[in-house]
Amino acid sequence: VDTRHPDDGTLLAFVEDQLPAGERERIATHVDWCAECAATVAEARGMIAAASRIVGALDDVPAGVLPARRVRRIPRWTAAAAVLVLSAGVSTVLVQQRATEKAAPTERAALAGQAAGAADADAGVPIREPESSQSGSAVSAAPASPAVPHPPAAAPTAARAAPAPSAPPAPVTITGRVVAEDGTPLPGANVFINEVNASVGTDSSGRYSITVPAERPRDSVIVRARAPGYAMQAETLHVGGGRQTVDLRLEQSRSFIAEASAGRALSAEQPGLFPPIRTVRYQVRPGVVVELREYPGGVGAASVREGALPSYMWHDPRARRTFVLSGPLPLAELELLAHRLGELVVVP
Amino acid sequence: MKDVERLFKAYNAALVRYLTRRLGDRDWAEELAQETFLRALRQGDVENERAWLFTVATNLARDEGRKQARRRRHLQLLADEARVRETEMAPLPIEREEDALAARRALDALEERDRLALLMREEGLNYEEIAEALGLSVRSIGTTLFRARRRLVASYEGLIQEKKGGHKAS
Repeated sequence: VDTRHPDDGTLLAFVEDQLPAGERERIATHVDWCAECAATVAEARGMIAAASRIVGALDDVPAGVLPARRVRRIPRWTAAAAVLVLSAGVSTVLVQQRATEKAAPTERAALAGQAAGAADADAGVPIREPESSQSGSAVSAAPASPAVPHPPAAAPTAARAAPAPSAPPAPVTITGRVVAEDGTPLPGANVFINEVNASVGTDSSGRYSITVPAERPRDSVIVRARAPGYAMQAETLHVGGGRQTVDLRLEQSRSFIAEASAGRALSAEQPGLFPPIRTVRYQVRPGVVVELREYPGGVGAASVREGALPSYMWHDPRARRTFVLSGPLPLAELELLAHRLGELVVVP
Repeated sequence: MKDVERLFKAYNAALVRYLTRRLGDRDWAEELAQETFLRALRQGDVENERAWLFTVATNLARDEGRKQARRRRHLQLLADEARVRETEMAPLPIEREEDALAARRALDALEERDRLALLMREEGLNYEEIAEALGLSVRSIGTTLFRARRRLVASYEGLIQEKKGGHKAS
């Protein structure tokens, strides 16, 4: 018997079967012989189990600062849209928010007008989040009911910002600016407060105005902002403290997001990297079926092989979902369909 | 690395869980996990793919989190406290919310290296992989994990005791 006591780390490695064969035998013999080290081994086993339970408790709050995550309303898109790049039978889709805004402001305004009336009725389709990833695969837990996401609409604030008429606490309006590191205003950035389910876009000078409704009084709220190609920023505002302005400075993200914003194709040679969470097929008219695929995540870019079919993609920055609608139709018609998904008939 | 689809299927759930536990924000975690896989596309073959993925994910979290870490943690605590207070919004029994809050605080109290080693171990990485991902020697991993677990358990139990005492007092 080796009478030298191994240190705690070695005993733990022994318990977790992480020692090379020779050493494992030596420690096993010692532990059999030494009551003190046997006690440490027992303690280590208990600690492993306890620590594992504690770490597991973190998963009970999977959504971080999103309390109402279980069933979430699909937000009205602030201005996200897609640019489609077709090449050799492979379509790579990239979100280019600002480019699209510039390209089609009037169209977007028109759509916003159409959508505004029906917005409260149909923009609030609840999407059931996949259950927490304990089942092992985050993407396979597709929800049963196919919710119909409402496509981009550019009038996010009007309805939501309206305060409840009679609640005693007054609605609080928070204003501010979103700028880049160098102070350049960021138009089209998404500003949101998860706790009260509010989301707005910034205007051409990077300014925003967001309202905490009176029926949801808070001591403090977290104002978050993000824009394609920039890392998200957040700031806490004490609502009762009299401060009504939150300016946010976003740092450029040195990631793929930035590359995507620059228009470079991402990984077109890797189809199916992100399997869709679900696929819903719609019948447009007899004989014409389009397919809507929902992808997890999507920080602003997704790359999916769409075969030869034209596809229209849009991205929901808050729900972290990317939607692709593809079918044997001209792109313009697909885009139009995306805005009218509710009218289509689901084909099983 | 070629077969990224296989990597995604094999490791996405673990990476998202690891990052969520590390960052306390699942949106953020999913974002970083996705970026990790995108990076794997551009990466040549590596010896140990799991260690590589966790290394990249850890670095991404560190790079992005360094500047915001302190503030985020503070925000997280505020958010947790707010959520615990708000039974209306809480989807879980209040005890479990409080357990999660205590767990978050106990984990945050660890040193970064101890925390990362523990979270990686919880995702099934072996000592060699953890050593590779964190740039430590394999010999030191046992000690690191022993210390991490003991401190985590001690501060968690301290928080729970404190809370029980508080309930009695009030």
